[in-house]
Amino acid sequence: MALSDFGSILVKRYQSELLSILSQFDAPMDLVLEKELSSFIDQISPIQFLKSHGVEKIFYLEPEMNVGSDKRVYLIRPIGSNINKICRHVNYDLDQNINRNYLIIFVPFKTILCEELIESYALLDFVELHEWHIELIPLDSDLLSLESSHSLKNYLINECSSMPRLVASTLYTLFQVNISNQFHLHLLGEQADKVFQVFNYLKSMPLANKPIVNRCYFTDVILVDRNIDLITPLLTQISYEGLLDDIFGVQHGSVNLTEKVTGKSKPTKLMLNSNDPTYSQVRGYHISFLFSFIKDQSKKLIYKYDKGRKQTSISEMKSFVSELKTLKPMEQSLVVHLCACEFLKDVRSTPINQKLLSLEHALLSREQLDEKALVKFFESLLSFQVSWKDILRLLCLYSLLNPAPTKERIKILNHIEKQFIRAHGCGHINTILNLQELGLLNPQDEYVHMCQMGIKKLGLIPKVHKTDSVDLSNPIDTSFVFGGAYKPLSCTIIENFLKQGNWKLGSELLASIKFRITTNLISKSKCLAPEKSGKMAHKQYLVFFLGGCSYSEVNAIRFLGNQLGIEIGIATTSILNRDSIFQSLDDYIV
Amino acid sequence: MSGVQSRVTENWHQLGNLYLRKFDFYEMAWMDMFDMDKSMVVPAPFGGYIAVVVDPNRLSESDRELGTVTQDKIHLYRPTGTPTALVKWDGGTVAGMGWTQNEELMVVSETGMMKKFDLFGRSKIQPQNILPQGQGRIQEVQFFQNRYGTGVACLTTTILFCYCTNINEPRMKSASLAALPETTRRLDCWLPVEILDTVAILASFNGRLYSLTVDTSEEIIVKTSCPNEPRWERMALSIKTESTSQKLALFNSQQGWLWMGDISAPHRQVDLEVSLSKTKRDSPPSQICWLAADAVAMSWEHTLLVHSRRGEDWVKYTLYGAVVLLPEVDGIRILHPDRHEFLQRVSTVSVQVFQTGSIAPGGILNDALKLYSEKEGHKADEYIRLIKEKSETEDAIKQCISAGTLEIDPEVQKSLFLSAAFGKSFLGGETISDDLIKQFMSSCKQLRVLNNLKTAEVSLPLTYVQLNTLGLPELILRLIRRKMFFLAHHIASYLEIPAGLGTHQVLLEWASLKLQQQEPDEVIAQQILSKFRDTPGISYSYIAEKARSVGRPDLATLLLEEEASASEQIPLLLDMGRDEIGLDKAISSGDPDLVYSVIFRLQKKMTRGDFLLAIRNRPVARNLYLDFCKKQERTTLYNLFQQDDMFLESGMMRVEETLDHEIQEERKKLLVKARSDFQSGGCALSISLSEDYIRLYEKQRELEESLGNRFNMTGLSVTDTLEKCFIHHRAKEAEYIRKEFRISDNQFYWTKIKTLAALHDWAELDKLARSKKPVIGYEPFVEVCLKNGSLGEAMKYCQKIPLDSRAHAYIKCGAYREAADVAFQCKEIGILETILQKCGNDRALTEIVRQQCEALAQKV
Repeated sequence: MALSDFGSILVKRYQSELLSILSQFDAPMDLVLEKELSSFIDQISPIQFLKSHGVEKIFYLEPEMNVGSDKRVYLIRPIGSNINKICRHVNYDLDQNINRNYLIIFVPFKTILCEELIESYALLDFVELHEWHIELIPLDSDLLSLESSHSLKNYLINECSSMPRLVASTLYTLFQVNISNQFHLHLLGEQADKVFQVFNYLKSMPLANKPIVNRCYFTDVILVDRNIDLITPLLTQISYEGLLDDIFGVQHGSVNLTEKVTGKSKPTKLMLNSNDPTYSQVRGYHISFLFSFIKDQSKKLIYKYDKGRKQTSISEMKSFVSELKTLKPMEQSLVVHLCACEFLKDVRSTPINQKLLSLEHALLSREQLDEKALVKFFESLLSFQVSWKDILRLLCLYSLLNPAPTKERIKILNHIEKQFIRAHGCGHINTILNLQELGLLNPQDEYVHMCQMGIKKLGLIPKVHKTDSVDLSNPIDTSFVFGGAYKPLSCTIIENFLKQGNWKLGSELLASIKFRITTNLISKSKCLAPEKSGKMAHKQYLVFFLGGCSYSEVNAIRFLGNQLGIEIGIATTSILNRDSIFQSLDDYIV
Repeated sequence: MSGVQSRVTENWHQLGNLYLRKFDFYEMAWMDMFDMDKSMVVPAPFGGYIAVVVDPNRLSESDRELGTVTQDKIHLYRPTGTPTALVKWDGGTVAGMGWTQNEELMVVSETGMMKKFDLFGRSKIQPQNILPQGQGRIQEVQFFQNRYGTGVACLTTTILFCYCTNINEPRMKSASLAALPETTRRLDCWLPVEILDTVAILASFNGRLYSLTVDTSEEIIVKTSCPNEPRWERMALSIKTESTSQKLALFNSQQGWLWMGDISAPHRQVDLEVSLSKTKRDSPPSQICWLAADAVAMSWEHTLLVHSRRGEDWVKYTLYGAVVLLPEVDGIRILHPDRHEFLQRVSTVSVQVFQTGSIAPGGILNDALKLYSEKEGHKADEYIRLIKEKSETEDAIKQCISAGTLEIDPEVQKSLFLSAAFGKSFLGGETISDDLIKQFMSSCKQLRVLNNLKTAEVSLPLTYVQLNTLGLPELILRLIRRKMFFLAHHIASYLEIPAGLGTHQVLLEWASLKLQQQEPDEVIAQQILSKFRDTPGISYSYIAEKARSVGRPDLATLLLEEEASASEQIPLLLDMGRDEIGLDKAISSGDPDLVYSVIFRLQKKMTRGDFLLAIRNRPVARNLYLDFCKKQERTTLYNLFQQDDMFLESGMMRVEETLDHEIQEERKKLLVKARSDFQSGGCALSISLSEDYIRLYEKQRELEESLGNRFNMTGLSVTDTLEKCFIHHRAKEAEYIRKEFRISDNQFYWTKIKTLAALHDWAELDKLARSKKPVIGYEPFVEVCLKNGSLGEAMKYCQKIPLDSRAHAYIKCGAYREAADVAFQCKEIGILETILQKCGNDRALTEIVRQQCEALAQKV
């Protein structure tokens, strides 16, 4: 019933699908993995699991490969560069008269382009193609993700993204396993409309022969197009979870902490989900809160250890020893989080990072900025060794939030853009042009206007804004995810709906950028049963972000759920941090 | 209720430890229509039709004289004996007939002509000749089922066997006994058989058994204790099932000897050999066949003798005239001139439930209900207790359900399901498993269907076991073949058969028939669509394709309009030349892959111009095609950009391409092209950006030359180039770059100190710091020194930093003591706390910082 159970059922389904593909090969076989997929695969089918099902050795996909057994399985995303490498391997083997069987498993599906590419090497007869249909994977008990960040740029810019199709088929799966016979589908933005179009198309198709297990229950699904809120994913996150992602990069619900962070001899993999009692309590909060929390916890631990030492009777000793089992991992978890926290705090408190953050907050609060000083500041950023992503990020925020007349704004932007290109090379001309097309740099007036209006009408920027005066451990609204400086626009539109019961304000807002919000009743049975008040009283929401969302948004939604006492599940196409958009624009530079 | 029980058991006949029973399906309507003695009667299994033709061999002289007896008509009867269709036969003397798995009637003439007819007596395909040349005529024909389908085997007058495994592709193989001595060539009986994956002819010659294939003839030694080597005059095979091995029965009349054993190992595996001296006959039985794999039935003119496989017991039934036996998977159909009868073994579970005094849970449960309804509640309670104590309630229910399904009388079925339902109410504490409920429900439903099928209107008499052997989808097919679309549709949805095999299939077949009617396209389309509309997911494209194949393309288009599945619809649309509609459909599906598939197809079939025109006005298709070109066809890409005035995109592509080139000159060329693209597109910013780099590349070349071509400057940005100038002490060039590219003071300065530190030119750095107050402050100095490994130099510059930000610089250098002092001076308690955390094991320092903290805290 709960989303968490549903998540584990999904994982089991993926596992059995993989096994049925692998079973076409007799053991032993080699598995060649695209490196970017490795932690993703680890989440679903750990190496141990693969090894117990016939996989002997595991390699990463490299341009050259001339070892291994006579059966080889490739596990890749449908990307041209992967295909090129594989074809090179096969051709090498053919030249050397090595007899080998090849199986290519595409995640989550193969494409005609890939087939065409293989055929252009005339190798289609030598390889066997399969698909491993992975849709949502659970990152936490209330969080599911498609983890398809590589298509972000396509999604945001091109019209030829496969995202609507992927989301629609995911939605269709959710529709099939949903226990309630009907649910409301709320569409926020253009991409949501597209998904709905494809969803309708899928719904009219014959049922695929998937075993249908009713496992999931929701009454309302809210599809949120990332394009309605491009500000939030640009902001520096200040919650523990957000910082971990901004600074270390969280991958599929876990993070790798280097030796530098933990002081240990090996990198540590830290799973980030609600199974970790420490983490589940602190992830949403500012790291300063974390320190006091850990202090409290360690005191409790010490107390328990002390108490244990003083035990004299055998039965008391016994119960203490059995308790030790839980105390030890608790202690380890506290230590790791403390190390991570310290590191994050150090990174945050460097003067340059402080400056960047204060500029960000100044932009948010729309203080009247001295234009000259601003230009100076950007110039100095170019000289300091600040990452190009940070500079562009701030530049985008400036252009989105600055209410100054367009002409003036563009003049300043162009000046800084020129300086930027001079410092970072001419390849970035495209980055700039792409950002313009995205509407992040030189955005259309309507969008800036919408942001202004949103700030005014939805109160995105709380009136009393002093970081110190906001009680971050006991927040009153969603602005806590940005230290009291800003309420995420996307979440606030949803909040408004949840509280008012209609999309009136949200619709007005989005109408100014020619987006609309519609609600559709989706039903399994042909005849619509009248809504039974008793049965439907229990509302369960699912918020689905198209184009990704940040951990800050996840936290904001969680907070809303707790505040309003309703259950809200979160699904997303991927997890974003402040660098994601720029990373996806950059994939051709490296 | 007790009536039911006795009604069930009264026609049971014990056969060893088994029971047999016989019941009527129908009274035959064909009573006076023909003489069974003088006809060839060939029924199809699973309650199929019965083909009847006059058999001239069996006619007496007087019959011949009486009238012109020709075999120009073959009659088809339903299982009720009602005539249903007439087959016109022009092939001369019929050598044999048979049915395929798909209920097609096969007729073979003496001359070797084989023809196929459907249930309506129509022949669809050309006759085929299956008789090899020079082999005389065909004497006998036998059809048989095997792994490849329905096969046919013939015996020619030259004693040659020819056979094929699939009549749809008859490549006849011949098998003969050429290798055997002439004298042994007296054939008694034969059978086509499939032993261990091989199809062979099993033939009995002069008391010896041979297995013949095209190139082998192997004698099969039958282990027998018969005193005189018996000549086997009759043989029969049991029907292959998954659970039992295939059995063989052999019979010799002179000694009345019946042999039964395993077909794959006749020399070892003997189930039973019996001398039937008591029933010794002068002639071999007219038919012999297996009753499931449990017993063998033999028919003579007035007697039907059933002999059990285990235990020397037999049952004899009296016959009143000729009959035809047809083995089924669970018994034998007996076609009399007046009755359609079924003989079967009573299943174990029925015995358990019905046998008087049974102690099986099902039997007790059944009795309990009987007692209960006879108002003997306390006794019933005792019985139930008996089952519950052993917690066998669920077994009891299951037994009652199973027994119920095996009954043919609806009253008996009902009473058993009542017992099961009765038992269900006692499951109380134990939870009722889903399985049980499912079994109950589905058995009920299937029985309802079976009872309906048995009615004279439908006349498809099947038992529960037969239905499950046949499979529900096959049942639907059979109904479709009989054109009982309405019933088929009902049954398919009632039994919840997967749509593709059930309701969809029924509707599609119905529609296919519709297509052949001579009404206007619109009318037919309307009729079909009105039926299809309530069936989501049905394949409109399938029926559209059919319409196209029968030459009604307009009707096909009308139907295809409704197809929801784009991937089904589109290929057909393209086939029909409706390319642009197909492309639009693909786009509206939202699946890029589908759009690509159309694009590639169109690219192949259209002229270049038409193709580009088609995708030009469709942004999704155009963008996808551009994306493809970007990856694989660059030249096309630029052409497209030019044609569509996509200057910005073109420029961007060229900028991207510069990165692939290692040679500066190449990059410059591309950038010049990009600039001209940007100029055409009127993109001011990009023009100036690309111009910058064109100029820079020129400068870089000068620099490279002046440095003696030792340095490759490819890919360096303006700032990077500036850095190179500093490294090589080219102050003049550096100054030039600063002016030309309007490098800010900040940046210029920063780049300079970075380079100096990298060169470890501390003196020069110092000079720079002293010359005038640097625009960027002293923090960068600290940073570059640290980065290049000189802590001493870094500390030097720390002192120059204004007090309020000096502490951070010290922390960076790891000089916590100094940092603490500064922080203390500035009253920065926060920084002191940070330092405290970093002190680690340095006790002394920790102490000092702590004191400072406390001192500050007190002041505040």
